[in-house]
Amino acid sequence: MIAAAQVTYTAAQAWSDLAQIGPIVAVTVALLVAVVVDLLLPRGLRGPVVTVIAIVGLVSALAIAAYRLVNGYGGPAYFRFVSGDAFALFFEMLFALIGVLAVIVSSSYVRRRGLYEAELQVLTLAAIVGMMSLAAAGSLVTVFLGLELLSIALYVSCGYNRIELPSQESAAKYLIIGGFASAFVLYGMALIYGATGTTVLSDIATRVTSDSAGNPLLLLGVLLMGVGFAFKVSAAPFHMWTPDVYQGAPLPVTAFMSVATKAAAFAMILRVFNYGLGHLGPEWQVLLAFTAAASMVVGNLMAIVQASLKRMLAYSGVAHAGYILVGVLAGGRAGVAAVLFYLFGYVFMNFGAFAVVSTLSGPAGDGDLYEDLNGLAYRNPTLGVLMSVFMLSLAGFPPMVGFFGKVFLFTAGISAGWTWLVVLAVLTSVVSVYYYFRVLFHVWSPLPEAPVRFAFGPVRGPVTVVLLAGVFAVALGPLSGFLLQVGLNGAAPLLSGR
Amino acid sequence: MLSAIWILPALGGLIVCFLPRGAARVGAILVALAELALTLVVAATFDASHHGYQYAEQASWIAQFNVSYHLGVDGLSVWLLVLNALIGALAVLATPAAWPRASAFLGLMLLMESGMAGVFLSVDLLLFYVFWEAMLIPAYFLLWLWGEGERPNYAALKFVLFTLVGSLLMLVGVLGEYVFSSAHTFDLPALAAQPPSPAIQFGLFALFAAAFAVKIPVWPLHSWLPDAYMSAPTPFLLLLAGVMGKTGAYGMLRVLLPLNPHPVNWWDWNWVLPVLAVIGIAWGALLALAQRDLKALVAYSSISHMGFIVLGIFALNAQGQEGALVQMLNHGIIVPALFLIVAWIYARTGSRDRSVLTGLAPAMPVLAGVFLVVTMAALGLPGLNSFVGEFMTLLGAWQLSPWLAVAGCIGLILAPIYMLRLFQGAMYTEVAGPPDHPAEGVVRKDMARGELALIAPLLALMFVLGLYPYLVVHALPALGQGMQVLHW
Amino acid sequence: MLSDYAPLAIYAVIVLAVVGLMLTLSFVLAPVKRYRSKLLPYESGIVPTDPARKRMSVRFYLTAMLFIIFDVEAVFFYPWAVILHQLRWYGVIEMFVFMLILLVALAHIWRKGGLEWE
Repeated sequence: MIAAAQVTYTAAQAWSDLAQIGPIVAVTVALLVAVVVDLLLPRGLRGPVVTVIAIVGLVSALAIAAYRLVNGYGGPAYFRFVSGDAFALFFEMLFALIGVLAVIVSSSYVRRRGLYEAELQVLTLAAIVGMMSLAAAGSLVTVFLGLELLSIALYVSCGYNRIELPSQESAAKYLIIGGFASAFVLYGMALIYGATGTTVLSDIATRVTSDSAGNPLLLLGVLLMGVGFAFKVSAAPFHMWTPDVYQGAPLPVTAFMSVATKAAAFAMILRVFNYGLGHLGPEWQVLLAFTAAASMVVGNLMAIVQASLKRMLAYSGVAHAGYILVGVLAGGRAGVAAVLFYLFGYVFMNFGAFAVVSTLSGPAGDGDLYEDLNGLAYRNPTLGVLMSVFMLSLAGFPPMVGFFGKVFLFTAGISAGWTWLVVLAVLTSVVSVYYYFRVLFHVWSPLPEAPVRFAFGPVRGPVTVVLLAGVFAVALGPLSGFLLQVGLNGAAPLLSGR
Repeated sequence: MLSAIWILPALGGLIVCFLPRGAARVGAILVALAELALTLVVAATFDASHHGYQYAEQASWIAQFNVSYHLGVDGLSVWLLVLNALIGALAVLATPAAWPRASAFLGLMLLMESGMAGVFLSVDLLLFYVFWEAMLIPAYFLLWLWGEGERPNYAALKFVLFTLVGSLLMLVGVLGEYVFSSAHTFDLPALAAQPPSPAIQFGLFALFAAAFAVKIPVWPLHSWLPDAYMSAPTPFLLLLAGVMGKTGAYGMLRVLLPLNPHPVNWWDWNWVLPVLAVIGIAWGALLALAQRDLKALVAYSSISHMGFIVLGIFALNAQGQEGALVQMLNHGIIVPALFLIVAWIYARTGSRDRSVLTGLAPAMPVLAGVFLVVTMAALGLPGLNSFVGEFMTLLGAWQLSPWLAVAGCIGLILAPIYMLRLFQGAMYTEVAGPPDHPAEGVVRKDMARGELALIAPLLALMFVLGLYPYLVVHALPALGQGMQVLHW
Repeated sequence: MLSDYAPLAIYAVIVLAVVGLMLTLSFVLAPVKRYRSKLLPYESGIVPTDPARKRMSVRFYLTAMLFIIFDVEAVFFYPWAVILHQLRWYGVIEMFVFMLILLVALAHIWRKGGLEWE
């Protein structure tokens, strides 16, 4: 079978294919150089140099993706196993951006916590390569490859602070649950392959029509993959791992996971479900609608009772996964674009909030209780005001980006007839205001009498990130038309097949 | 021109936040007065014979969803803008220089004023919503960080959660209008021209009405109001009670009715709201009767008066809605004056308890005189402003249903009872026996010149609007868009 | 639609039923003779010398893992060799890139002390 297919592969084709995955190549090269540099340089220099290399690699990936997006984007490459289309480029830019933020925050964090710097950056780069491959995937094989690459790198990152018990617990839990999820996804893929005879998504899209709804192989495949995907986006009822893993992992890793893994998993869902299995919409929509509703309710209610900021943000992440699923369910160009827009905006508000919390970390540990934020607005007005901006944006107040994200998601939802889900989302987001405002309450409450557990050190890196994220979180609101257009362009490749 | 009306206080507010105390107060006063001048220029040059939005500004904002940055004024909004600027200026002036964290307070007040100006200016539904929510953020901080009483945090959170339930439901309504109207736009005139089917309108109406009814508030959604008013600091209370409640009524006239003229499916919503309004009139008046605390009394009377406005709006005829608009302005003038007087009495005697305060008039005759005028205005004495509005409202309501009008009169009957009892008790009852109330020992001095200057514009307006309501009413026929209900 | 999943649900019920039935039946029907020789780990008569659960040095696992990583990646050489004629120079270069990446990994393991026993 394999030998029968005549492969002709010219040099020109090779170059063109390589250019299609340019951003991935840039990050991979940075990763390899970083590993070698980590081996050769004297110990004191390794950390800073690796951080610089990582930033250079990520920024060049960002530049390549932006350049390709502006100057006419590509299409399938490597026999349709990956794609350099606008959808992939959108996510590659997103991941490169998150990567830069994460590298800056963790560089300062590991120094303050006395951890080894270089390897965490290398792991972050590896995870980003996985995420980019996932977003660019044109085949179930590539999807799984990217999924595993990102997961394995993150399992190690979670346990990076290995002398602390919570960090170990986090890594172990994430490994086991993540392994389960991967197995579900892989089993589902195998069944889809069995039903269609191909792993290439564009072929699956043409072979699976709405007539094939009765095929039990397909249905079982959809069911298993849906469960696996729900694990990965941490949607209820498959969210149990999220709070424990987020709480135990080192703070920059949590911040990175909370936005990047979620975005990658949604890229995967959009590629596989909305594009590959688009004709089976009615089948997977039933599953996702249930998960979305459960996520909103469970996430928002559980977030209320948390005492730890990390756990609160973990549950709020579950709730946001529920909102984003509304856009996935709505589908179509408007729905997908809304998802892309929301993911992009979510990065700034959520990562910004985590970056603020990360400035509290010192040799003694991570300060992640509400009380640790007491009087932040008076201790450090910039951080205090921006933390308020992030919370208001997460709660969906205009003119912040979170509001416009919700507007686009809900418009798509109502247009596609998911009004009940939108009403549920709206009512549960009223609940969310309660716990986001609790953060505001601590940030603006008067300075505590007792000495604070965690003082704010002079941390330039995270503050830069916070400022950057704050500016974007506010500015992307009024300028949302631009980002929405990028999202609409990114959504187009998913719809051309049908 | 119109952009400046909301950008000026917004920018000014942001700058004032970072100024030192003294400069902040001067800056805030200058910004507020400039804002007032700006709105007065707009009102003076307003063309009452022109149909359509005036001074309109339109620019594409989010083109993919036909959202535009569209501002304009018409007969509905022009005087509300002036009211907002006037009360905003008074509120800033009423903030003493020694106020705690004065810069941030004044900055947030200006930001809130900016948000409300934006609500009155927007001609685009999404823009309207953005301003609607944006004014809530400074209001929350003002109520919480500067709140009085034991639990300002509780009052602020209750206020925000109540309003948010309403306004997020309205968000669904806003998006629903876009999806279900064949116009597929957020532009108000275009939406009003192509309303969706009555069954859809029935649902959308409920979503919008929830937001506006909480803000006004309409019975039974009023329970945030006493808590919020009780813990609000006086300068902020002027804006909150004087203007913010009006945004709800304005929303009903601007958005709710024109976009959903026939909300009829299982029942007719247009009959539900006037009934609730009448219940609110009686409920607020009865509870006002039962209050001992002056501030609470005014707060409950406010619920009663806002009921008249809703009743007028849902009379669905020219007299009723004209009356409602006039009443919105009247209430926006009278309630700030009442709260100022209550605050001054409290500052002099250290008490707001009606049973303790007696015989203050001899010690402070000017305050007693001012209080008398405001009391008479509040209970609707002919010749003062409130009478005109209430009369027109009830005239409109009578045409809708005589029963509703008669029931609404309960409020008119109860208002003199609680207002006069309050006034007489506090000012003229003889001090019985040896004075042993907690006010003893406090220096009782009459109104300062600054205080008199502060309330003078409000007193003047009570007479002007009472004797010459044409000033406001003549602008009304110049409406911005075709309104199926308003046959002016 | 949800009803499309009915066959799956029926299938799941059948699977559970069959498994449950088999386990129950074997539990009920199988003859159980409890005497000393029958309860020994090896029924065939070999006498166990020490407990089955032994603690092994964690280094074995590390080495085994490293071996598996390189072993699995070496498998890629087989399909590559089959179509090398068609891939021509591109295939050769690509494989060198692949081996370079492997070498970096090996160097990393080596320098970080992953191959040392002590």
